[in-house]
Amino acid sequence: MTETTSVLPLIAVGASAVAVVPILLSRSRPNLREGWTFAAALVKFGVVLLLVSGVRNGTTYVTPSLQFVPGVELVLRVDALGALFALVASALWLVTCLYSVGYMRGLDEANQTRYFAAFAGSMSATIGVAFAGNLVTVLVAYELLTLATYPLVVHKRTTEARAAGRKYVLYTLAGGLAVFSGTLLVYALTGTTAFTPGGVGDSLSANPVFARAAFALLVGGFGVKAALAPLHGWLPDAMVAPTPVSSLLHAVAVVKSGVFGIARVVLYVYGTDDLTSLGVGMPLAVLAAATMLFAAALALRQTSLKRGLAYSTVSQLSYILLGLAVATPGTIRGALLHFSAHAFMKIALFFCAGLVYVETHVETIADLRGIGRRLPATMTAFAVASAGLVGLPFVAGFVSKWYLLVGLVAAAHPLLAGAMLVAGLLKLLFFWPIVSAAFFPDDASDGARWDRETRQTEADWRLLVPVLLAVAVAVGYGIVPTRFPFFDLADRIVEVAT
Amino acid sequence: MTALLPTALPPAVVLFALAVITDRLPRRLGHVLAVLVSLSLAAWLLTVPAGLHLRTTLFGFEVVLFAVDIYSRLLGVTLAFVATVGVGYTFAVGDDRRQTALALAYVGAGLGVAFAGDWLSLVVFWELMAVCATVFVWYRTSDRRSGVRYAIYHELGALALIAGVVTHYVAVGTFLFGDGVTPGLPALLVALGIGLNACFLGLHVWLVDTYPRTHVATSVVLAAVTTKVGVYTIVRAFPDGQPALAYVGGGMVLFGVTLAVLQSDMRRLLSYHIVSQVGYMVAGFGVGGALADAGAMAHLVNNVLYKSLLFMVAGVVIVRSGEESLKDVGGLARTMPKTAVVFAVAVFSIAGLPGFNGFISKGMVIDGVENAGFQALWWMLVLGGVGTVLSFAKFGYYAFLHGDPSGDYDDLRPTELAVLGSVASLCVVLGVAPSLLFDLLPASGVAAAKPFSPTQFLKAGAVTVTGLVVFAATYARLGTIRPVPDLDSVYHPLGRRLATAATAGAVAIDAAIDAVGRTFALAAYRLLNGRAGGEPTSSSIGFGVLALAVTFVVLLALFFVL
Repeated sequence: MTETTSVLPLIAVGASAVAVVPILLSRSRPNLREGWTFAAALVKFGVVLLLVSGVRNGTTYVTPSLQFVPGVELVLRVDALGALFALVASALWLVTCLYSVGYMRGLDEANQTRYFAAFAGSMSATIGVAFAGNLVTVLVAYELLTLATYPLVVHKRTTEARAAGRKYVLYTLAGGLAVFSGTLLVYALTGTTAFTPGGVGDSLSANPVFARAAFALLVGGFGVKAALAPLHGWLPDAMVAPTPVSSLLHAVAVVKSGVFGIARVVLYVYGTDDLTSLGVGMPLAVLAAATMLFAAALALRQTSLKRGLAYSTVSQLSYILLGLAVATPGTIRGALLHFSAHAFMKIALFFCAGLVYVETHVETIADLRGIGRRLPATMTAFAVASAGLVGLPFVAGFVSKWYLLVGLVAAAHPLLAGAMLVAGLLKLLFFWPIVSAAFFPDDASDGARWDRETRQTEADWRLLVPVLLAVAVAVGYGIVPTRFPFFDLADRIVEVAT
Repeated sequence: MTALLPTALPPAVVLFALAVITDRLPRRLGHVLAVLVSLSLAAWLLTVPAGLHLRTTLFGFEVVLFAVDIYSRLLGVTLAFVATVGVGYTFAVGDDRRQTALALAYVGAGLGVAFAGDWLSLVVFWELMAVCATVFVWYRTSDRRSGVRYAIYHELGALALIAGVVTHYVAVGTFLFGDGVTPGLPALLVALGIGLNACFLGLHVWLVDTYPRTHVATSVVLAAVTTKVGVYTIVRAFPDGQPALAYVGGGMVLFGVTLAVLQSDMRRLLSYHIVSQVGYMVAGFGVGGALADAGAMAHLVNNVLYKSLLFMVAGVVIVRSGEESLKDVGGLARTMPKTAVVFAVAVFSIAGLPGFNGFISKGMVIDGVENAGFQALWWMLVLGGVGTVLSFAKFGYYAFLHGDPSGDYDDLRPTELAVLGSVASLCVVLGVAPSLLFDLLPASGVAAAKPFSPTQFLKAGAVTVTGLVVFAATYARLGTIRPVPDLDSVYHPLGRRLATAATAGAVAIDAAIDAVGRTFALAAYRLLNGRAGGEPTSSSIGFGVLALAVTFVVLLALFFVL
């Protein structure tokens, strides 16, 4: 394992931050403005690909640090875990750029410049979280992510949007405060905040009371963004944002940054041994399992499609947290596989929801009856992606859940494995009625009404292509997962961190 | 000749590809092609060399995608034949290409399970089979919700199977089939998972709930696949038998025929008979031993033949008359004599009369049970035979003999006659020349079989006569009797109540969490804004974001400088 100094991590983080200015300046020329977004996304993705291939060959990239105060430094370090998150985020941002164009123009939304600028800023912060080399850097990037995504949440400027935005900021800044306190405690206990594979060593377990307190603060702080119950309340309300925001940020970037933070804490600050000796792993695992079931049940009561998907996200994120909390190689591998698998499936589902809204202005589940006639390819993609979330084979979700299950049973946690299986059933109870009503409505007139109301079938290509791309990756990942870099990166992380 | 192509491709892929093609081609061409390909598939599967082919890795685990032994070969050939018959029948009753395509995909998934050489690929194809069946059911059903319930039941079964398979894997370290499933919790969970598909007693409600409500061509194919694939899996999980399962099988036989007798809906009656007939197979595999295993497998093949024939006849009656119930049809023998003859062949086969295929395999299963020393079970199976005769006497009498036909219905058309006739002929051929089937069964089992011994005839005769006598005594009551509620009248309200309670509980907890959150929020606003509280305005936050972005860019610039 070699460590090289490189400016690539900085470029990956900064590319879209730099693009914010030209985006703001191109206010009056939409195509040029979108061009800047695409350019930034391409640069980001390209650099991340380079970094990923390097990491797969055993290299770790470090960008020289900036010291504020002795001992408190901002470091960018790219290792397997960071590469995994960055790869998912940057790949999906590229796809979301196209989708955003189709969505914003399809609805002729106002304030598009502010939207694209804030989006670019958010992606910068996301990659900043991914490439952070210590708790301080993660904290800074985490807070910047909150601030950059706020304008996106309140984009519509309705009372509902503003209320959702306030709740969002309040929850996540409070979370940030908790992370800050936890970081201070860790620094006080160990003298460092740097991420070390396998944990920072004995200094934490030597002070169990403070170590547990720090763990609770850190996990609680990151847990807000990771939508761990009872800190999940902001997510369903945040669905008031435009759908590209809900898809990428609140299904992939922001929520995964919370999960990522917890992964860093579990694997690179405490380490799996400390987790067991301090006895903090099981409480987190139980909380994650409870969130899984709780959110899946709540989804069944939702009438709005996006809110239902939001609760599904809360539930799915807890699968990852469950795997991390149990902290055996098998469950960690399963959790990391689900990290990427869920992203592709969930973004496809949210894209479908947004597409449906743009084409037909339908937002509620009940109004989706018969819509398979009007949007066949879209709803087929929806069906495939939801099948993956349920855990049916040949879509990505099956593979990650399989590994998680094997890991949980091997670690002698049959109840947690059982909870996972029950949650899968709850997912089916949510998605299958939607899919069946869309394609096989009870009343033939439900399907016919779509023929009457709109002349065309299917959607704008700028909206449909991203959906199909995301689903294609999810299916490919489900058939031959070992061919995807996510699998290899997950293996590396497990190898190094346990 | 059998060298190159045969083992390179899992047979399931052939039917999946065929499904896609049939959906696109013109109707007649597509159906003819599908029949030809399915028949060639059957021929290929008859001759493909035995062994573990297509060893590869799936999702990072070692698997075998094309494992050919006596049992998988026989099931595979049977399923290929089911595909042929299904396609033929769908075409004959005038259904569309998509219906045929969905049927082919469903049978294809079944083939995937049949030839899986390890638990992982078996589970994968098992789940695919459930998904294909769900879509197939939804495509043409009178009640979409029964399709959703179908999916829920099958998901529950799949979860049990997955739990069992994973616990087995953790115990032995591989998914490859060895000596069956690890005894204890893994075996119990796998049995429950198999039991859902194979309609073990108590786990059977989905079948009688869904099958009668689908389109006639759908139920023909459904009846021949899921349950049979489930039963076959018992051989993989319990290669040496499992006495508990044997008695479950006995219970299924009795329960199935008892409730069948009480039905008036034609296809519901046949559905309960699926439970009963599968009970014979479960009893055979549960008892273990060469004769019982061979008998159960033979019964599987024969059952596919005469059960699909029965569903096809019922389908023709339903399509012609527009009625689903025995109470609304009658005297059909007069206007539909060919249908009546075909029906008679099917009934004689299922009742186990000499000269028909059921006689042979039922005899083998019952003898196998007796040889293994399960006396009580022997009585259960024999009594089940009486019940079978009774319920089909009812069906035959009220549909074909009793009363006047409500209309001048057309008899079998040429295509229908071709399909039904060929299946009926097979029932007779395999009944008269069982060696054709015996060549494909395990030799040790066949050696112990005494298909035409005098005791077989005695047993069959006694059962038939008893059944007919009981019918003669009770036939008037049977015409008016109402069916008793099945376990779904317990499960479904219970399930609904559970779901409502769970979601209501979750909503209450969420509301409580939200209330706590709002309290903290108000406290925070008061803290931030001093006096009366109020919210940070969006413009001030927007400015803050811009300021932070600028700061960030400046910091990055400093990076470059330093």
